Order: sequence, then structure tokens, then C-alpha cells
Amino acid sequence: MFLFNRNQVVLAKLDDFFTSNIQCLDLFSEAIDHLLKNGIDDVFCEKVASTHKKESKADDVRREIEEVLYRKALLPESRRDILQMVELTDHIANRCESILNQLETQRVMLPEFLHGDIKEEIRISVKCVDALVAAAKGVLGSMAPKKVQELVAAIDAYESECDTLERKMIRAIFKSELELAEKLLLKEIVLQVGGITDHCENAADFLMIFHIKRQV
Amino acid sequence: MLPYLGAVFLGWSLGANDSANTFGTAVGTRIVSYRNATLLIALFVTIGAYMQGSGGIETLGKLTPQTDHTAVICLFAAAITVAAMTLLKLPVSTSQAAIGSIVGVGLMQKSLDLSRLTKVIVCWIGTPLGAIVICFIIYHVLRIVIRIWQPSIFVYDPVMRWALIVCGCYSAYALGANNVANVSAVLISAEILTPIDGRLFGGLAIALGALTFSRGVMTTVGKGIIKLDVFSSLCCVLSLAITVHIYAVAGVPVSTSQGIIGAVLGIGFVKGLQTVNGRMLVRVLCGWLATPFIAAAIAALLMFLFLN
Repeated sequence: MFLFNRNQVVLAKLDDFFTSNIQCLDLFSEAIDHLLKNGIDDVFCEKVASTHKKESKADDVRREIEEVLYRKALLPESRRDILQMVELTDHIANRCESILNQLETQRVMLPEFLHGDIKEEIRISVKCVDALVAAAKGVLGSMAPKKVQELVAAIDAYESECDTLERKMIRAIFKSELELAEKLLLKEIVLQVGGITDHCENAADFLMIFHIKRQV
Repeated sequence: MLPYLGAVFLGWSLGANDSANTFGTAVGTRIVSYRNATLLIALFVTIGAYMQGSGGIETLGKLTPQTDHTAVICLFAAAITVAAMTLLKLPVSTSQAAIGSIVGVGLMQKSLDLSRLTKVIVCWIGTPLGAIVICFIIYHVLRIVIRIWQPSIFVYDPVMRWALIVCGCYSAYALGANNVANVSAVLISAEILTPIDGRLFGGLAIALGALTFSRGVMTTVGKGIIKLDVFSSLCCVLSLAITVHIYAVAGVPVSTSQGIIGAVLGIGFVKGLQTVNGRMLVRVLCGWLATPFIAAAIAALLMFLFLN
């Protein structure tokens, strides 16, 4: 129906945006896996470039969503909330790109004793982003409030898990025999990776408010 | 010429003040532009006045006998009251001003139909109370419907947008049907206009006010009610339309401002009365109580000057 046409465009673009964010995180995860196995080589650099392309695509889609929304699709209060949700979710792709850039440009080598925990942290981050996207789609769709609450609670739990891993890794870094500069660099990387779930948590908190506001 | 001038002024101020109650929320939430809203109001007010305005006209026309002179006095007394109260920034009901002035003239003529006046006063009290009850019921019923339906945001938003526009049109229709009597009842009673011409003339006078001077009040009402959220606003506008339409059928002109404040109170009863501004409510109440007395006093004074 003509009533819903413009909103269907927004829905399709939001879908595209979430997919781009998930793909960006998948590429990031692949890049880190490769880095841990092979160090910084051409393949890693290609993966960094692919992540950058995906992040740019997410940015483009975000701009398109803003444009369609400003052309008066949906009610103004929904427009504002969707834009904020998109803005918060977009931080995830930005963060992935920024970590890879840092690793590539600063030639950071992740020591053996961090490999397991880094892999685990990224695995949790992927699950966290999946839960966030499911919650976002649920809030925009017609998911039962209880289900949204469960997803938000899961995101919170993932974030806590990552925090624990982060502290464990930072402790291990500073216990090691590495140079202080190297320790600080690694700590920065660990915090940056942990930032992915922090962004998810912020977005989930907002989603919860958005969902409550939509309840009649 | 004077009766027409008085009627146009009264209708114009009614349209300028009261059209905000029908589309203020939709304009405030930017669901519809001010220009389109006023065009819709003008159209539906005129249709409402023409189609269902006769009930109120009959009631007001029979409150007291009218001549050319008393019609002019009634219209100017009401118009002066509305203008003065608006200038003093006090809430005013055009219906109360119009009926107050007819009562003032009737008292001076010693020919007031008390049974009709009693019916009118009962309906005035019933307007906000009716709106409270209707809004309370509508809110709960629609809430159940939406909870069962569970639409996505991409369906809910356009449905709400169009529902608010449709209810705004219905509300404008009810405004025209109910309030046209304030403008043209005395003209028809004094046989200056035929009933059909009177209804059309009154409707167009109200439409003129909506088209030319409603932006200020509409912005204020829109911003005041927007805080309620779109769903609550829809319930308010629909309750207002139903309440005012019921009184149009019953043949008693009532205040749409009283109706909308009653509806907002209805939402307050659902969501908690802390949302209601008590001081503002007292101020509104004082304005409503004062309006018919001031209009009656001005009309009586003008009548006294005319008779002497």
C-alpha cells in the first residue's frame, strides 16, 4: 500500500545497515585470526582494506537512512529514536576498522599468551553484536517485550564477560617481560576490542528505552 | 450590515481559537503542515455546520425571541467578551460567550426559556466530564487492540499518522456542527438569514478564522499536548470529536476547549494525575465560570442602553 512504501524503503535500508555491521565484524574477526596465525602480511592488509570498505558501506547506508527519514518517513519521535539507534550501532563498525588500522599502521604484534583470550573476546563480541541486531530488529518489528528484555540481558552478560577477559589480559600484559611501551600499546588494543561490547551495551540500553516508549 | 459584521467577527474568533483543538496535535507533531491542516479544518467545519448545525441553532434560537437589534447586541456582546478575554490571555469559550449574551438579552426582555437554559448548563458541565470518560474508554479499548495487533513501527506509524488526520477532520466536522449555532442562531432567529444560509454563513465564518488566524493557538496547543505522545493525542482528539458530536446531535453548543481539556484529564486518569497542571486547571475553570457572566452583563448593559 502507498501508505507504507516509504517506510518499506527505510526497513530495507536498516536491514542493509545491520548486515553491513555484522559483515564488518566478521571481516574483523577473520583479520584478527589471520594476524594471530601469520602476523602482518599482505593478506592481513587486504582484510583491513575489506573491513574499511564494509565500514564505508555502513556509513553510506546510514546517510541514506538519515536522508529517507528526514524526508518525513515515520513519525518524528520514531525518526529521532531510529537515527540515534543507527548512530549507536554504527560505532561498532567504526571500532572494528579503527582497531585494524591501529594494528596495521603501528605494526602491533600480539604475544602468544594473549591469543586465546583475544579470540575468546572477539567470539563473545560477535555473539553480542548478533544479539544487538536481533534486539534492534525486534524493537522495530513486533517482538514481545520479554524477548527484547532477554536479548538486552544477554548483551549485558556478554559485556561483563568481555570486561573480565579484558582485566585478565591487562594483568597478563603488565606481568610479562615486555617493554613498557609495548605493554601500553597492547593494553590500548585490548581496551579497544573490549569497546565493541561496550558500544553494544550502550545501544542495547537505548533500545530498551526505545522499546518502552513504544509500548502503548 | 451590523449583524453580519458581528457574526463574522464571532465566527472568525471562534475559528481562530478553537480549530487548534482539532488539529493542534497533528500540526505540533509535524504530521500535517499548518497550511494543510487549516484547509482541512475549513472544509470539514463548513460541511459539519451545513450538515448537522441545525440542532444547536434551534436551541439557541428558542432561548429568547430575537429581533435585528437584539441579534446585533448578542453578537457584539459575545464578540467583545471573547476579544477581551483573549487580550487578557484568559481561557474563553465562544459557546459560553454566545449563550451568555443571549441570556443577558433574554433577562432584559424578561423572556428566557429556563428549561432550555438548564439543558445547556447541564451539557456544559457534561462536556469535560463526558470527554474524560470517553477518552478513558477509548484509550483502554485502543490499547487492547494495539496489544493484540502488535504492529511493527513501519505499520504503526503511518496508521497513527492517518488516524490523527482522520480524527482531526472528524473533530473539525463536529466543531462546525456544534458551534455554528453560536454564530448564526441569532441571525436565523431574527429571520435575517434562512436556516440553510445561516448554517453555511456560520460555517464559512469559522473557516475564515481557521484559515487566517489560528497559527498561534495551534502552535501552543500542539506543543502542550505533544508531550502526551501520538497515541494519547489521538485518543484525545477522537474523544473530543465524539463528545462534541454528541452535543451537536443533542442540539447544545459546547466548548471544544473544555472537551479537549477533559480528554487530556482522561489521559491523566490513565497515566497518573501528576501530569495535570493544577494551577493551570484552576485558571481555566475561572475563565469558564467568568465567561457567560461577563457576556451576559455586557449584553444586558447594551440592551439597557438600547432600550433607554
